Amino acid sequence: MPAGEILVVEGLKKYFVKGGGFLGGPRRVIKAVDGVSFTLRKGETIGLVGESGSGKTTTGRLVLRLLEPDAGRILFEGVDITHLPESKLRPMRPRMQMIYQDPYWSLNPRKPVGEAIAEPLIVHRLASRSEARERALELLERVGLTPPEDFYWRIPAQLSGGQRQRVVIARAMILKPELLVADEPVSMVDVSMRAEILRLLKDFQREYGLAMIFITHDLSVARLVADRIMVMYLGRIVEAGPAEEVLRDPRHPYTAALITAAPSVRRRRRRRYEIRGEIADPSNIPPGCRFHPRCPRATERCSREEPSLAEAGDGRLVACHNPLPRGWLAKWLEGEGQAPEA
Amino acid sequence: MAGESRRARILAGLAAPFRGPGRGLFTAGFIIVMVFVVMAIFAPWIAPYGPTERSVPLKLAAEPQPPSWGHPMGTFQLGYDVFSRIVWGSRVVLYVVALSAILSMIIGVPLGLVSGYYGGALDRALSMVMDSIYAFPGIVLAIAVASVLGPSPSNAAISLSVVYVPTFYRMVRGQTLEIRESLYVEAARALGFPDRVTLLGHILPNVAPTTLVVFGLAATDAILTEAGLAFFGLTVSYPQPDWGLDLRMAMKDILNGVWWTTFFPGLAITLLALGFALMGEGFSERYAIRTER
Repeated sequence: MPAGEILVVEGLKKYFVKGGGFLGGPRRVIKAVDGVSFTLRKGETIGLVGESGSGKTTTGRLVLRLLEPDAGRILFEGVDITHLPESKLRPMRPRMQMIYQDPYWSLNPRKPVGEAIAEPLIVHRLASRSEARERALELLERVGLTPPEDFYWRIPAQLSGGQRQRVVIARAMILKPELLVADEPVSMVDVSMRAEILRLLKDFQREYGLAMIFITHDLSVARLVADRIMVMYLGRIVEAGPAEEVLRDPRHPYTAALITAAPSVRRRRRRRYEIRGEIADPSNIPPGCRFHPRCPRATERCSREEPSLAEAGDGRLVACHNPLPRGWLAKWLEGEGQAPEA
Repeated sequence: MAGESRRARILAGLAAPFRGPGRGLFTAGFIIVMVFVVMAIFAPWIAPYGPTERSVPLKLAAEPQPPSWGHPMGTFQLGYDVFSRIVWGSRVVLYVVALSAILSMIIGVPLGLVSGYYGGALDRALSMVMDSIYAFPGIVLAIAVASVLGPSPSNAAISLSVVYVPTFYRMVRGQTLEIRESLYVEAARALGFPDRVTLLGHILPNVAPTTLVVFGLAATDAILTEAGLAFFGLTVSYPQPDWGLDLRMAMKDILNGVWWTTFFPGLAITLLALGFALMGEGFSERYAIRTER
């Protein structure tokens, strides 16, 4: 494995089976994650974007082995953790942390937040009780819950959503992890608090050289935090590349649709690159390219043959038979040209 | 700082049921129960007579005497003072009830936690055993177990706890199943916490309020069942005082128009049961409010 890579994921799959059995209704296999591969380097942030139901969260939980993968491989720091038993995994867990979307239920409602932050150090015997308390107070201050003494003994119900998310961040960061999966960490937080929480994450990242998988449906958030962006659709990555470039010059029609669908304050005259309908049922994935029923550029080939994620120059990967031409979005937004047919 | 705040938190936790919703119910129940606890502890100073002391002249001892200034609740046959026997009897009742409720909690809660958290074959086996115990009428089961163990207050407590273990087990197991799926339990796994920490530090504290409500329910029921056991002579043996046993000894009085020998012991049983029921009810009302976010 080349140096600097902290996480290598190959062909990851997770299928959920619903129904079946006695009176369980028809058996359906939900292909939540259907062959995802990527690598993450130390200190890098990947923005994992897509609509709800695209498998972003499942991917994040699989990577940390909070779900058992059905196929594929996960290498963390060169160690294959795909099938590592929980007992072997447990000592590694402090090095890979997760922040959840819902700051209300990711904290034990009866544990004072200071104790919640100190607990990981105590449980993993990384510090004595009093040292851990000391560190927890430092972190409370660090995440902006000041004066820390006032916050230490509060229970989550006494904090706002944004304050709880800071507690969750502090609890993850007290372990100085190397990998962080942040699952929509600001989507349930008040808009006014978002920028600050994102900056906090960025600061920790710089300090610890943290590698981050940042899951979001919000492209403007992804633009702020991500070095690279991976766009997911129905359990697969459809486009990946450097964040700035993917957002400026998308090559996959789905990415273009996501970008133009996002509301923007700055752009006055907006043109939307429209796609039809909604994301398909992941238990009934269309044949061929899974995006073709919604795609304005779909051809007969798209309904037959599934495109693979292929190099499209400049480190860009696109899974499309008819990718958009280079530099297309900028021109189209200027009002030049029609939505190009294939 | 930390020490003081911890103490403040514990004090606030102890005071919590006396505040907020359900505080009226809880406080009323608490006062009733405390009256009986004080009675039991200070029995020698509160009771005007010993439990088996002839408190009236010999010629009056043959028949129960009605309530009077000297005997506010009258006397039993043989001249035993009803009030004094109620006071002394509260010792046995509270001992049996407290011991049985605590025993069944100590056994039922851990079993429910483990069963709900790990599931699998152990869970199925335990659930089956507990359900079959639960299906028995409590008093019948308690009498059966107590008869096997032999009459004594401690054995009565053990037989009662056999009845109430499933109550704790079922409640705790159900709650654990629910909490196990919650995000904060997954978060505990993501942090690499061993099961012991997750169970004791994260699930148990969230099951605790329910456990206390069940404790109230079990104690309430145990008072009535204890009276039943005493009635059949399975706690203490006459003439030692126990409310249920006094009821049985006074049964024949009812036909003679003597009401005080059954009324007051019965009232004591009902009041103490009411006290525990009110505490449990008040607590559950408060807890239900607290679970909403």
